[in-house]
Parts: sequence; C-alpha cells; structure tokens
Amino acid sequence: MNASTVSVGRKASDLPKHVLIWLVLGLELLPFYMMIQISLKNNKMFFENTWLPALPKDWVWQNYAEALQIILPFVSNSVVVSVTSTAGVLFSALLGAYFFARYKMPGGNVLWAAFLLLMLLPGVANIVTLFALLQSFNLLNTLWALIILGISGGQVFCIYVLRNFIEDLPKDLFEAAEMDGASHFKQLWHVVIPMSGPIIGTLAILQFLGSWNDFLMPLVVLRDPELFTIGVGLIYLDGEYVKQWGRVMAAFFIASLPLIIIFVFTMKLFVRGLSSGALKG
Amino acid sequence: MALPISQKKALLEWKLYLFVVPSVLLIAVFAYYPTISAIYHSFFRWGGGDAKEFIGLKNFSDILADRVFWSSFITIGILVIANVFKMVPSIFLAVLIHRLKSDRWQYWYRVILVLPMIVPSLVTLFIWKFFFDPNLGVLNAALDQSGFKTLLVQMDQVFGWGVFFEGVPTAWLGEPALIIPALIIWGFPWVGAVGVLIFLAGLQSIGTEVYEAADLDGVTPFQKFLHIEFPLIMTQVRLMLVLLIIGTLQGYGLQFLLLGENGGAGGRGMVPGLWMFNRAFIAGEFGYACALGLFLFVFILGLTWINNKFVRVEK
Amino acid sequence: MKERILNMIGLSLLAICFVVSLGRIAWPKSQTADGRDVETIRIAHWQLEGGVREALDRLGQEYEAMHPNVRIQQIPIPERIYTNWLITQLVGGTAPDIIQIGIGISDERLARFFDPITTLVESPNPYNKGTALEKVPMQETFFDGMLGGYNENLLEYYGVPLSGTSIRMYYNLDLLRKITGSEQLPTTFREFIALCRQAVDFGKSTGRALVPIAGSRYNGPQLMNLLFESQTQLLMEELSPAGGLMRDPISTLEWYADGKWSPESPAILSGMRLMREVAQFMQPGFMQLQRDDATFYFVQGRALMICSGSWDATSIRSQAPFRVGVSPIPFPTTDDPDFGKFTKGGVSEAGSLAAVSFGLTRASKHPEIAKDFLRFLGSQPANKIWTDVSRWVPSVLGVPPHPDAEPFLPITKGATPGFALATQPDAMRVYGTSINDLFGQEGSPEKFAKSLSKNLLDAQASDLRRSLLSTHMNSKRRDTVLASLVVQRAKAPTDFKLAEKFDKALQAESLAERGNYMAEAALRANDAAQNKEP
Repeated sequence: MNASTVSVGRKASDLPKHVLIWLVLGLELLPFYMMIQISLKNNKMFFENTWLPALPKDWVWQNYAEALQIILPFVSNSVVVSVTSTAGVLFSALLGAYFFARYKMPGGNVLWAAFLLLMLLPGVANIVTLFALLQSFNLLNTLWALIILGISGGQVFCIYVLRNFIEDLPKDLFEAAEMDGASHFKQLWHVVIPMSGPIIGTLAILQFLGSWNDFLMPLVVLRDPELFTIGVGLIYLDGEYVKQWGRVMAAFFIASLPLIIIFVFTMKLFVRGLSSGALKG
Repeated sequence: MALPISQKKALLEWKLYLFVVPSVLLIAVFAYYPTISAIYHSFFRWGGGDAKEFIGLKNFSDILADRVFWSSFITIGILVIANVFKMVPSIFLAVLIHRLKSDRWQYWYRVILVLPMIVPSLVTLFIWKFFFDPNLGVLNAALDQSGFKTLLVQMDQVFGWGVFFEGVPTAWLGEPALIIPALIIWGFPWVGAVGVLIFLAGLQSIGTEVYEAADLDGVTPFQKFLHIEFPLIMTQVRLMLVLLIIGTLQGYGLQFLLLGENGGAGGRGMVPGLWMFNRAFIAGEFGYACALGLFLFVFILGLTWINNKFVRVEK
Repeated sequence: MKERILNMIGLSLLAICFVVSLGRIAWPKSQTADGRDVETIRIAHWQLEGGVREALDRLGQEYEAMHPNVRIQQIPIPERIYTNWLITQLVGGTAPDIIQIGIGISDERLARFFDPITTLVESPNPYNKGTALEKVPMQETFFDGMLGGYNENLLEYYGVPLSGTSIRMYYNLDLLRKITGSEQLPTTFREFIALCRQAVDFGKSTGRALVPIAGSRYNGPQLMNLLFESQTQLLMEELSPAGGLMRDPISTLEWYADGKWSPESPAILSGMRLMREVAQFMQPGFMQLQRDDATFYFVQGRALMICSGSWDATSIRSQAPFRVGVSPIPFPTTDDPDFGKFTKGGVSEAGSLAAVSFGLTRASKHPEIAKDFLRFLGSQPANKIWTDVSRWVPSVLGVPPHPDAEPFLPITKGATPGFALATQPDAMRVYGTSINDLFGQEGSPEKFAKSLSKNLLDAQASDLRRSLLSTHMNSKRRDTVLASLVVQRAKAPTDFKLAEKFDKALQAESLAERGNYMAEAALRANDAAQNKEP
C-alpha cells in the first residue's frame, strides 16, 4: 500500500480511527501511568489526589531509595535466571530445529510428534510430580531448577517456529557450505544464524518475558528469600500488612526496568519479528 | 520442507542426531516423565515423600463427589467464554490500524503498541489488584466520579443483587458475588500487543484493490470486516482461540495472585487448576491432586480432539 | 545500521546487568568466618507485624556473638503464601531448622516433621545462668507453664513460646480529645456505646467521614466474638456438670442435641443483639474488607477505634501519626440494663497461653545447634531483648514488659468466657454464609437465629465427625507410645521419671478416650434427635 496514492479527501476520514486508537492505547497504558505517578507520592498525598501526578517539587524520591533496597536482590535473581534460560532455550532450540529442518532423518517424525504433542498437552498436573522430581535431583531451593525448567518448557515453541523458518531458507546456501566441507555445526553457525536475526530476537524476548513473569514454579521451589525471583518477590511485597503504596509502586517500576531497557533498544526488532510471516499458524 | 534423505546418507549423517539430544533429553525428563508419574500417582494416596499407599480408583470416586471441583468447572467455563469475548478488542484494534491509509502511522502504532508490554504482566496484575482495593479504590473512585456508581446502585435496587450501596466502598475482591465480574473486568481494555501484531501480520495480505472495489460497491465498514478481513485472519484467530482456551482452562496464576489459595471470599474464584494446587500444596494431598490434574488433562485433551475433528477451516 | 547499534547497546546493558547479578549471587558463598565452617541455622515464621523481624535479628546477633561459628538467618514469609511454602518445604525436605508452629501445622504434620523437645525442657536452661530461674526446669519458666508449646494429643513439648498475646481496643487519642474533650477510655459497655454515638454525632456535625470502629472480616469478629462469649457465661455454667465449665465443641453439641440450647435461646439471641449493636458502628459492608483495610482506615484517622491483637500494636503505633491508646474490651457489666442478665461480668484472660512458639524440624542438618538456639530463645535474658525490641508481651517469668507492652498483659479479673457458636470449619462456614442475616440492613438476631437453626447442628455434627477421625488416629498413636512405655517400665521398674511419664501418658489417653466416647455419644444422640423430627 502506498500512501502517495491516497487523495486528500480520503485522509480526513482517518481521524476517527486515530482517536479510537489513541483512546484504546491510552486506557491500556493507564496502569503504567498510575504506577509512575503514585511511586512519587506518599500515602497521604495519594489519598488527597488520586489521579493527577504530584508537583515535581513534592516528589518523594525516598520511595525509590527504599524500594531499591527491597527489590534489587529479586531483580538480580530474575536477571540471572531469565538470561540464562533464554540463552539455553536458544541454544537447544536452534540445534533441535536444525535437526528437523535439514533432513527428514529416520525417526524424525516420531520425535517431531513428541514435540508437537507437548504444545497441546496440558501440563497442569505436572507441577506436583515436577516438584517430586526436583526433590530427587536435590535441585529444590536452587535457581538452577528454575533455569532448567525454563529451558525445557520454552524450547518447544521455539523449535516449532525455528523449524518452519529454517525450512524456508534456500537450500543452495546449505549445499554450498557443505561442498566447502563445513560440518553441520558450521552450517548452522554461518548460514542459519545470520539470516534469522529478527526471529531469534523475537523468540529471545518472548522467552525472557515468560521467565520474568513466572512465579508459580519459583513459589514452589524456592525457600530462601535471598533466592526469590521477581515473581515471588512481588508477592512478598504484597504480603506486608500496611503498605506504603508509593514505595510499592516504585518497586514495581524497578521490577520493570530490565524490560524497559530491552524494549527501548530492541523494540523495532521485536515488532518486525512478530509481524513477519514466520509466526503464522 | 526438510530434504528427504536416503538410509545410507542418514547413517553418514549420524552426527546430526546429536543436535537433537539436549532437547529430547530435557522434554523426556522434565515434561514426559512428570506427566506419566502424575498419571501413576493418581492411583495412590501420597503425601509427597516416599510413603504412598495404593488406593486404586478411590481418588477418582472422591473427585466425583467433590463439590468444590465441579463448581470450579462452572467458574472456569464462564471465564473461558469471557476470555473469548476479550479477544475481540485485539481484532478490532488490528483492523483499525490496518485500515489506516498512512504506512508511517501504521508502523508507529505497531511500535507504540508494544509499550504496555514493558510492564511485566505480573506487575500489571498487582496494579490491578491495587485498583480493586475498596478503600484506595482507583476503580471505585472512577466509578464514583463518573457517576457510574449511582447507576450501579440503582440497577442493584432493581435487580436485587445486594452488592452496590450508596456510600459504601465496593469490595471487588471481597464480595463473593463480585469476584467473577472482577476476574472478567480485569485487564480492561483487553488489548494484547502480541495478539494485535499477529493479526496485523495476517491482514497484510489484503491488497488495496479489494478495498477500492468494496468502496465502489458501497459496502459499509462493518461488512468490509465481515467479508474481507475476518475470513483472512481465520487461521490466526483459530490458533489463538485454541491456545487461549487451553491456557484459560488450566490457568490459575491469575486467581492465585488476586484471590489467594482458597479462591477468595466464599471460594467463588476457585478454578480447577487452583483447586489442584490447593489440594497438593495446602492440604498436602499430592495423590488426589494428581488425580485432579489427570482429570483436567483428559478433559482438555478431549476438547482439543473435538476441535480437530469437527471444526475445520478452509485455508 | 542505527538499529543495529541500538540493539547492541540494549544487549550490552543487559549483559552488564547479568554479570552484576551473577556476581551478587556467587559472592556470599565465598565468605566464611576465619576459614572455619560456618553453620547456618534458619528460622522461619509468618509474623510480618512490626517488631518481630527486628527482635529476631537482634536475638540472632546476640547468639552469633556468643557462638562465632554460627549464623542465624531469619526467613519471614507472608501469611498469604505461608501454607503452601510450608508444605513444599516440609515435604521437599528443604525445611529450615526452626519453624514457627501454628499456621498449616496440624497434629499430623507436627508428629511427622517436627522433633519434640520434651527432654530439652525437662532440665534447667543453661542460658538462665545468673538469674533467679537458674535451677528451674525450662518448662516451668514460662507464665503459662509452657503449655503454649505443648501438644496434648501428642503428649510432647514441641515449641518454645516467646510472647503472650491478648486482644484489646486501640484508640486514636488525638481524635478522642477532639470528640469528648478528654482522653478517658471507656471501661464499661455503656460508656463504650455512648462514645460510639458521640463519634457519629461528631462526624455528622463536622462533615468529616468518620466511623467509630474500624471493622473488617478480621477485626470485626474479634471484638464481636468476645462480646458474644460474655453472654453465654451463665448459660454455660448452668449446663456444665458441677464446676466443669465446658466450652468445647463436644459438650456444646451434646447440649444442642439434647435441646438444652438452640440458636433461639434468650442468651444466644442476646449475644447476637450485642454483636449487631456493635456492628452498626462499623463501616457498612465491613465483612467484605480485609485486615489491612481496617488498619489503613484507622491509621488514616477515619475511625476512632479498632479492635485487634497485641501483635498489631507495634505496627499500628509506628504507622499512626497520632497517639494511640489501648484499653481492654469493654464488656457489659452485670447491672447493664440490656445485656447484664446473661453475663457474669468481664471475661478473664487467666487461662491464656503463650504464643509465637518455635519448633525444631526433623530435617534440620544441625539439630544440636538449633536446639541450643531454642534454649537461648526461651531464656530470660533473651526474652528481655524480645520485649524490649519488639515491644510485645514477654513469655518468660520475671521479665519486665516494655512499657508499650504493659496494656497487653493478661487481665485475670473476670470469669471464664462462655462458649462460642462456631469454632470448627463447617460450622464457621454456615455461620459465615448466614451472617448477613444479622448485620444486613434488614437483619436481626431472630432472622440470623432462624437461618442458623436449619444448618448449624448438621455442620457441628460433621465437624465433630471429622475431628473424631483424627482423635482416633491420635489414640492409636498414643497406644503405641503407651505400649513402648510399658515395655520400658518392665525393663526398668525403679525408674521414677519413667513411671511418672507413663502415668501422665495413661491419664491423657484415658481422658482422650473418654472424650472420644462422649463425642460419639453426642453424635448418636444428635442422629436420634434428627430422626425423631419429621
């Protein structure tokens, strides 16, 4: 579609659409706005003025100082778990997808069915026996348990998407590399990875998000508050008896910071990745 | 498509199998084994340690008599239907953005759309919990100031609900009758960035000529949607629908965070997944929880099978 | 290209975060105290109320100063997730060394996961050296004889209790002065109601949103149940066998089945009327509110009073920008025109047990050190630190309470409280679903009593049936203990301590069996009575 072919008269009719879109987006961003404006007030100020932000001279920066102390350990635990599990997922999924996409190896169909089945299999009962399994591996109360579970859970979707993507790559690239005597690993490294930047980026972000937001498994697995990830940490914060909402909101904001960093810098990549056809059913 | 390979070449390429070993190992140990173990343990009375007692089908007969479990199915049914409806705003927004004439604006909206994702869903959940608070009630304040509250009080008197009163802060999560409405209202305006972007991708394939032809025929915007856009995103819709239904049916994180381990006041927010969690990690009845999980598992599997058999969409 | 640079920046920022976080996690492990092995003792609890965490930290530091190779680590877990956290830790074998006994710990779990400390407490506490309690066996150094740490069903001591608790009324003194001109707190129910009315008038005349009592699902019933129990005092005395004063579910069910009382008896109705009278001075719809909502209300100055336990004192005092006054619950006196008929006057707290008790888990990797820390916690010097830092009521004899804790010391004046309507799960559920018939706009005691009459008896019977199952199991367990004691006595017939233990166990078992028998009789009577009705 080319904007230059549009006549002037047509452009005007777009206005109601824009208004609607801004309305919806605005409402969608409301929690974010409230979080920021409340994080700079104390309880009394919030009580008097619910909706509008306080004046800059009244901003309570102390909320952030206090929140930082509480939430920083949780954030760092989450960063370690999320980054490691994302790296692990990409590693495992790239290898696995390459296997499926390159050749129809004997037994490949069975293995592929095993993976597909997992996407539809409701894993709801697993949490109980997973807990028992982790106990027998002595992995309870460690961050490793969370990382491993994150990898094993996230790779299924990634393999599915990556397989479709790799299959769509032109075969001659592979043949050329093979003729140059490259091992499969080198083929993966030099052919697949450079071409799949956006897809890998999108999958990485989705996996990171998933791991960041997870709280059920950490709740069940972790004992020591110093190991708590963000999920459990926020529940912990919510469990205090009388809450200073300004401080709580500041903690929420700090909990979102790593995501903010990622998104601000890689937003376009993510948008492009999701909009490409590779994620079609 | 993956290239076909002869048996001989496959033997030469045996190293390729190593590529898939980590993945298969992980899913075998951490996905398939727990599932099988759960099926196995549902026939036992199991406290979680090594001590277990084989009781055959007793867990299952207990399930049949378990009132809490069955009423949780009703709750989750309502929530599934609500979630299906909550998919509409995403489709609506995707269509709106898609119909914009300016490419630049389309692109920028796509980018801005991702902005709400900056806040992790966990934090959004807690902020909404904060909105629902009766005293600090952002939601209650909004209702009061916009006059909606008076409307609700009047409707209450007409319908006899007994939940909205003049001058009384409404406890959205504390009043049993309001728990399910609160779970439905949550997340207003119900637009998911990932969903919108995927729908937009699907809508890409429609060319301008189709629109111009429709305009010449004098088709209304809504008819345009019905006949042009909707059929083309059917695959995406169907995929999202399946994932959504399966996800909602087994989900309980939302309810756990907002309402606590017992499903809130009067247990109205209890959903099957939460009851399973409750039985395992609060009551300590791991075997019964496995049986509950197995039940849910079979149920969802059955739904998926029905979906595949009877609901077919022509590409 | 610009996009690539941006991506690189983003990724490197993330990488920095990652490295820093990794460092934070890996760092503490490399610290050891002078190369010697540091043993860490972990102690878990749910008391996130003000004062507790600080006090436990101080106690930990004191202990660490005495034992340099030990590190005491506190694990406070919010009440909301405490039960599932507890179960996963106990079942998963990763439980901390010391856990607070209470939430989520049934007798089953106590027996299965905790180590009894009976042998520990039968001897004097070495940490009491230099005090008057030096030669006294530890179990006799607490104001309740350490019954707060004793489990009657299992016949063992499991926990070391740190604090006494009680329920009081908290007042906003500054607001009180504005309303009445003085800071005198009401002592009788009449004065209390008069004050509530004054508060309402004050709110109306100044246009200030004011509620006399801050109520919630948690704080409301605390006040109202105590008041209710003052109304069944005479009834209970009447019905109990001579000098018995039974308030347990078995006896009350038996009397109910025999028709000796019903929800429509005058004493019960009077209790309900008392509850309703107080409820009208709380926020409308208070039963839907949570504990922190009520506290918030009070602390924001929108309520004059709030009823809560001594455990909230430090939290409330630190959050409130005004001065806080504390008084006992204003019970109706015997000459009260409306409610004096059925009461014997105030309710005594003489039988109250110490709380906040910590027990030893079997999964502990350092049981000897943990036991030693428990001894330390239960000593007089430690308890003094406890009350000084947390401002809570002490549990050990001879420890002067912190001035802030003095209003919470048990009040011995008064009579035994009467019985309550619903203390077990099923009965409480029936009670809770009908409660709107009492508090609602069109509610009344008569309406509430009528809806209870339909279902309360059945609920109490099913509760009793359920508890009979576990008491039978306890009996079985006690039989095993008794059998082993018999064998031990046969081998050592002159061991007096053993003989004493055996006698105590036999007596407890006999009492328990008698209780079982009575319960079964009550259930049979109830069934018969039900069948008699058409």
